[in-house]
Amino acid sequence: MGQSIALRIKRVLKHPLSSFVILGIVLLLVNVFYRAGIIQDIAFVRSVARVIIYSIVAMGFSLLLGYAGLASLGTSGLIGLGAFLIQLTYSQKGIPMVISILICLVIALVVGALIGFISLRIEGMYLAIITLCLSTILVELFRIGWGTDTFNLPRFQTFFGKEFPGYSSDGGLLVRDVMYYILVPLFVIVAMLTSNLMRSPAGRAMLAMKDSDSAAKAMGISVLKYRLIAFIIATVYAVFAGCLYMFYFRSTTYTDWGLALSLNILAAVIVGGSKSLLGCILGCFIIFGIDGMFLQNIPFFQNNTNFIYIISGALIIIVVMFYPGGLAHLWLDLKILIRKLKLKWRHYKYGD
Amino acid sequence: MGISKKLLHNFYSNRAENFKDDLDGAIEYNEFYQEKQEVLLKKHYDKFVAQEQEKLEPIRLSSVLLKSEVKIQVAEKLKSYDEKDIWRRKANTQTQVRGLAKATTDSDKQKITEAYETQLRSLDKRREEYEHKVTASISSKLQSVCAKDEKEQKEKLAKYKVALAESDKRCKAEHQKLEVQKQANIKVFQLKTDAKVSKASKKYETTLVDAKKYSASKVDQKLEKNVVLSLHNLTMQFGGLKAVDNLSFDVKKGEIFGLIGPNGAGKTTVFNCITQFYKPTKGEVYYEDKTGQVLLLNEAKVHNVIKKGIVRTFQNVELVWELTVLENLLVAAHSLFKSNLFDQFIHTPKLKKEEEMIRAKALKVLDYLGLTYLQNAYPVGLPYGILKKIELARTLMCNPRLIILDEPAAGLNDAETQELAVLIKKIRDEYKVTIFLVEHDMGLVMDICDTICAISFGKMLAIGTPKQIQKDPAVQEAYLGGE
Amino acid sequence: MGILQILLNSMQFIAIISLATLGIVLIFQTSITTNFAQSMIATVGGFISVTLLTKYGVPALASYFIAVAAMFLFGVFIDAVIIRFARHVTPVGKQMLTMGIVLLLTGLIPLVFGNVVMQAPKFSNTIITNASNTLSFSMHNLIGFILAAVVIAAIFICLKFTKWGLSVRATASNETVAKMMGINTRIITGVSWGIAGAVGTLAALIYAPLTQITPTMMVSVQVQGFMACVLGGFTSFIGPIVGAIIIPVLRNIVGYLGADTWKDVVVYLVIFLVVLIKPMGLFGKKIVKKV
Repeated sequence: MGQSIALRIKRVLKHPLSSFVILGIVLLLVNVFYRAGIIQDIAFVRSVARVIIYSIVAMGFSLLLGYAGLASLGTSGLIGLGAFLIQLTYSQKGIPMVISILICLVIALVVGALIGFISLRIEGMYLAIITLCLSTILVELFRIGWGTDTFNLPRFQTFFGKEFPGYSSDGGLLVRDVMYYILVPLFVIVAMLTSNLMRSPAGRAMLAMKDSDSAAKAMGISVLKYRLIAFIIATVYAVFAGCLYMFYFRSTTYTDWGLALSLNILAAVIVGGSKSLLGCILGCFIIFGIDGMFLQNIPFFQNNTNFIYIISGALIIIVVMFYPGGLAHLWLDLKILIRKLKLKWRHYKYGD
Repeated sequence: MGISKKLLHNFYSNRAENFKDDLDGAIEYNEFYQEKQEVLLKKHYDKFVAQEQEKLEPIRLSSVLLKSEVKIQVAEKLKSYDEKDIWRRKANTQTQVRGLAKATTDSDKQKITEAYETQLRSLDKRREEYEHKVTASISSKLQSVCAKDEKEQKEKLAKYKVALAESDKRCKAEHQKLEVQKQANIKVFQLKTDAKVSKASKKYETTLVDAKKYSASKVDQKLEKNVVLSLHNLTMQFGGLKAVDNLSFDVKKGEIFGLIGPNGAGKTTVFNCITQFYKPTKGEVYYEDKTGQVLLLNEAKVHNVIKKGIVRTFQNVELVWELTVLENLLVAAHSLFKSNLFDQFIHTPKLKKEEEMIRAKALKVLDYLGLTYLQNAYPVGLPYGILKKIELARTLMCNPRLIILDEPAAGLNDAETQELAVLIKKIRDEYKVTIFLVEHDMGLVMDICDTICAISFGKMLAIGTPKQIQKDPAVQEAYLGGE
Repeated sequence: MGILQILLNSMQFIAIISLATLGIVLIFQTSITTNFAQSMIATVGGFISVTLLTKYGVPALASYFIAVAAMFLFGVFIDAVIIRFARHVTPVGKQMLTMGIVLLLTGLIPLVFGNVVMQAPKFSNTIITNASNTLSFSMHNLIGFILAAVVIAAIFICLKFTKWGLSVRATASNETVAKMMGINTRIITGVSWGIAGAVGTLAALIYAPLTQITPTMMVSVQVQGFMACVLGGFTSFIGPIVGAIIIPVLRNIVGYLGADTWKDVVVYLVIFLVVLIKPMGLFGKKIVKKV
């Protein structure tokens, strides 16, 4: 009897979506621990939230780069677009939260479609350049439209009609906590949806399109359709992440969204493995998380704030040169290595 | 005016195609459903039989002699013990081998052999002890259950036989019941399918009529009765170079048609013009599709060609290296998936059903080509001949009408080419398709083609049966080197 | 302020960006890599020069020379060690490598050179004005422009008329064939990286006195140099230089027309449109691949 329950649990765990659920639970616990006082520093939780938000972008980017093989350096501008649109709709025009987000998503759809159409004319490196131009234009527009100040979201006291205390309280949920508890499930849902898509006919079609344009067309895959889909999804994810960023961190300025962020996300995806979602999340954790989560507490790193760049730079170089498949690939290789070692051991012991 | 007519024609044609696809898809799924029902029946029946056996077990035990039953059960336990024990013995042997290899002096070797024998004895002793223990426990367990002597056994045996007979009856009844249920399910589904099919048929017929109403006069071109593909004055010009010059020929239904010519003759260009990878500069490509309509292929988009039933292979194997062999076949069936993006995001039951069916189909195709063992392998590193076979497997996924092969024998040795010839013929016969191939290997071409067309510098040299081509002087001069 | 003054003001940046862009296009053509690290290497050169000047009191000319020479060697080093070992890496991967180098150097610079923000002195502090005082022009600007013009002209002449130049163009056209023709492509690519490092450093030396010396000081130069390549076309040598002239002039014209805030937006918009219409750039040639 106990054996069959164990078997059932094993089967559930093997399901590809279960790892995301587990991750989600772990992330939720982070804030729980913070509230309980086990984790002292709010910066830790904020770092985790940052990693989560950038992971959403990275997952869309992974679909674009790893599956559809399309390069885009415009991600940071798009995330910023989400943040600034929220500023416009929620803060200035007073549109309720959910509707503002929906408006942003619709705009994202249009922008993504636009880029998708452009991608049909332009290939490879030039596409990256065009998206870079686009991103820079967007950021310049932010600077012109919103100036060089940081923009803050007013503290929202009511949330779907329920009142929450602001930032000073003892006991009871803070608005920030609520946002975190919303952020994590959304992240898990996005991860599961993306994972599903990757393992469906559309995912396979994109890989076919990436490996061989002509064969894909001969098999009935419309290159236009799937490029559009890839770009729309990547753009929507980026803008959505931008909205979430604004609601959680509640302030932004145009310098947040420069080229450096685009490059870092590209790096995160490549380091983690461009086709693996868990790899992307791990990559984001390494590039965006370790600094804020752990290193800030060590004096050496506090004094040399740029040291983290050495680590990420070296990591990128090592991964690209020796492990183009990223850390996800490394993980697979590790499993194969372990299996090989096991076989060797068997041979040694039993002389097979 | 002409444009709106064309748009309407395209609109209705596409709708007709969709209805036909629904039709075909429903029929195919119906077959798949029947197979699945069969599998389910077997599963449930096996489960029932197992349950019955469990119920009968105590009665059976009571009908056998204690001694014989104990013997049987002990033997079984010893078997599973031996399965584990063999590893210990192997380890023992291996330790000895390793030790002897390392040992230098005779006394060391002696020691090692002694150690080996001691271990061997202890293993044997353990086995004996285990045997005793197991025999004792089984005996005590069965003591009260089994028959003690012949007399008791006879009466219990009779009882057992009766119980067995009854159980058999129950099993048969259950099988009957399951069979009836299966038939009922199949019937219900068949009715559903028939309803779907008739509905789709009707829609299909009316839409076809509508489509024909708006069809441009050009496409009223009638193809001869048994012709599936017809090239009319096909010309393909790249700047100043005429790669294909005024080429015309017909490909009959169900035949194997070969296109030959020296290097640079324009064979691949013809190929690409048919499959719409190039849009011909001049001339028309007519094709009779699944609905019996004659289409002007020139107007079709590249990725829609497969929906009309034309599939192709590539000279340089163009498999998707990042997917497994099975997944490559699944991609090939991409046009068969009806699930939309939403279904794919959340993996609705609709998508799961489609995946299941197409996966089963892919396995069948792999089985047909003898490649089942490779289903989860990646194409990277597989032998070239196997890669070509996978390309061929891909073409069979979509119920094609016309299969176009681009130099299928390129890179294969004689034996593989022979195999290929047999395979192509088999596919033509069993899948009822027309095969068009471009090839350099004269042996293959002369062997399997019904009709051969020879071209040179984009112009037609000759067309006819292999024998005729072999005898044709122009061909001989240009290609076969003159006899 | 007339058109002439605008042009005079632009000369500085024309010099800086044309040097940067030359480095980028040289590396792109010989090792098919878009070098995101071009200006970062230049920055290191700038740091070396300023440190020698201010901290160790090395005379100006000597420190400039040492910096340029050091970065030449550094460029060769990067090619030899990293790029060479990444033969099998995809073009995107090579871009990533250069980005990794950028990050690495961004982290290393404060470690090696300390965190103190330094100031670099100009080549000369005199300002030239014309008789009627309507035009003004700094000496530093002039020296920088002349230097850049001379260097670029020299490189162009070498490219066109020397054997080395022929080897570079051959390698740029097709490395494998060039190798088969007996050209030692390893030296060619190494030297290209070295030259890129050297001219980049020169750009840094011209630019440094105009801004604060920080690790990220040349990021905008990198982006503009890159954009000049895009505008002019990666497949030609003259194109990027033309691009490097157009961009600063365009910016200043827009600024002159009063829309100062829209300077960059206009430039990027123009580039966006050019790439959309003629992806190969104004001077680029389309390389047709046979299917």
